[in-house]
Amino acid sequence: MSHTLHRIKRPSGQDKDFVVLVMPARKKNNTDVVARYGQYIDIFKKYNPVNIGGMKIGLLIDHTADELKKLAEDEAPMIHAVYETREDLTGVLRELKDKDLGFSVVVSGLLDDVRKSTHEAGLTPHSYHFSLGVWGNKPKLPPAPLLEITTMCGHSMISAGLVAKMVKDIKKGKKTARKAAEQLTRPCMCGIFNTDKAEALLTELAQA
Amino acid sequence: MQIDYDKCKACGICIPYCPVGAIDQEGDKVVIDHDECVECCLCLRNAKCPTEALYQEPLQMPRSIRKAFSDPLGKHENTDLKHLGRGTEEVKTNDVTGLVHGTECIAMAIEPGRPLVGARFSDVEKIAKAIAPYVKSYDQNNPTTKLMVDQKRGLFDPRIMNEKVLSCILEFSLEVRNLEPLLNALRAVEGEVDTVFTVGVIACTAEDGSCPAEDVIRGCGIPLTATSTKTNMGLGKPRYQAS
Repeated sequence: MSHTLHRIKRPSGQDKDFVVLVMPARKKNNTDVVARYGQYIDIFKKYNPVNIGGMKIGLLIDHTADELKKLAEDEAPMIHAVYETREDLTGVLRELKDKDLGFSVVVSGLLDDVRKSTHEAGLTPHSYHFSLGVWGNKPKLPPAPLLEITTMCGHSMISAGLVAKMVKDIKKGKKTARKAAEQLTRPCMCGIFNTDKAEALLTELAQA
Repeated sequence: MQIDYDKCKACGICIPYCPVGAIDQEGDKVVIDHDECVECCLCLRNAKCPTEALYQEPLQMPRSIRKAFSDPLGKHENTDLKHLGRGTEEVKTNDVTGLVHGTECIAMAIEPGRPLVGARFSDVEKIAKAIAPYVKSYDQNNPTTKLMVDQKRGLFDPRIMNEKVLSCILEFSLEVRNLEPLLNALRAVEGEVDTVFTVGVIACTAEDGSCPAEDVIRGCGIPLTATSTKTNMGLGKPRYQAS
């Protein structure tokens, strides 16, 4: 599914969240998957990742990058890494181009920022999945600041209720914003949740 | 999802985890609204119930489709697709598969229920019927397609109309010239559904790097600055070659 798409970005956090997704194509090039994921992890870990992970792999919050290489299973459909700066994104893209490992690479982020990094890395985009945003009965949505956190999991595994509880716990001094952000990271088993950005947003919400 | 009341201490630790607000405290009991529950297992896996009172019974059709679509580890056992996930590889491996190629034909992914609201198939069908005149063909590897009984008219299996899922994806191809009328049809149906939906357009770049579909989107006054877009970097091998 389009799980890294439609991440809602308010102006304050727009330039601090990029997801790099690597995926073999079923029945086309999905051979030596575990070994090749390991090679991608070796590249990902050099550029200050906020998160690395995937289903049937695990999360960087619970394991080292080298442990994730050992945990990756053959059936893991894809692997992700999350970055906070455009400089790190450019760096990882440049190395992925140079190493030319053969799985498809997709970046999720605001179009203009990703285009700059793509150009700087010497790459030409093959195709896009444009997000035209959220339509329909929008009064049913949680408030925008909560959505900026919850939409960092495209499977909707981060509930607005849990974010609200984390904010309450931070206000009461029961938890630090970091601990709360880490608690929100775990339900997103794809490893695309940006823990650092969540920590900053939770701090902002708790001070409001 | 079920609660074993012989074990439940009504501590309420599971309540905030539910993405659709189906768990609540009623008096001295914690209860699950089974009409709203989408069987995603988020509470079961993450709330760490201290008495292990949460459990999921084996689900039968049509309720089983709730889990298949809502639980990231749910499989589509009720269709001939057995893989995980709500959609397909779409743009993620498009450089290798050529699912979308050229610039005249594009694809779309409309996802009723996302983010966090959930959708019933009665609303999914309303959207599918509204866009039917502009759809070229539905993706046959997509589990939502497998639940349609009439793809040309956008009709679904009547047994599943009240089933609620966290989200599902209408994934189809269309000609780029039909994008603007389709978006107008979506605007018309927006007020008729009791849910939200995300809209995505999958399109290839031309040799000069331009993307005609992007021009259409911008021409419709839709900003591409508030949510993240996905860019396929063209690094997959072997690269798809049109025959």
